[in-house]
Amino acid sequence: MTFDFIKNNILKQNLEISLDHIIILATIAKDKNYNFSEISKSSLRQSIIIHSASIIEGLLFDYIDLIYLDPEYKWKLKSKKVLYKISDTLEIVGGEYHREQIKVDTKTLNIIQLIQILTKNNYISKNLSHNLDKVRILRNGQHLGARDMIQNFSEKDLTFTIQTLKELYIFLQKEYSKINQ
Amino acid sequence: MNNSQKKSIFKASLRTYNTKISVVEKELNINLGQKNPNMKLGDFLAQNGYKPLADILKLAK
Repeated sequence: MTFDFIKNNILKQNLEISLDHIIILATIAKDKNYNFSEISKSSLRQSIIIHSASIIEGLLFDYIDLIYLDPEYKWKLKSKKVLYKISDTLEIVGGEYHREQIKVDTKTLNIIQLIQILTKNNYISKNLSHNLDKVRILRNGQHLGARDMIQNFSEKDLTFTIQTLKELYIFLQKEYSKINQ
Repeated sequence: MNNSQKKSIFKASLRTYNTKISVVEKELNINLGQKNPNMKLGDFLAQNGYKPLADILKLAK
């Protein structure tokens, strides 16, 4: 199995299914019996990019559950009391200001939050973080409503995405090996 | 897990670096235009613009 270092069996199987689908798409794209148009080739590449990003998100999700994150805090106003009402949009208030620890529910994190937290806590390098973010932006091409042009997914985009997946894969193989020692 | 899911996972394990491309061609009903039917899937991917993908399969061997 490709993702043997992942202990969560459901996640491991889902990662395998996505990787398998990438291999199917990659081989079908080379079928000599079918002449793909440039638009079809771009769409095939986009599908591979989306599935690669999905694997990346799954891997980061698993990794963040294994490591220690520095607690984060935020200030919260309690017992708020309006002292002066200046206008409909401005009030002077009083109350107690409490510094509280933020409880991060890792299950609700999306790919950008995962990348940001791992980078901020120095678990992944700036270079890997930058590359993962570029893949995220490519993946976001799936949101058609947000596009302001016809997006062409090039061979370069595809190679970059799979190369980044490989970088993350190698990095995590080593990290999990250290953690499990 | 239903039978279809089990079958899918079983199939996934067939597509490894060393899988012969003739097996992949038959399974997906495609023609990859290779003269050597014993060529490994990983080698085919590496020669056709998917080297990082082939590398991932190689690392998992």
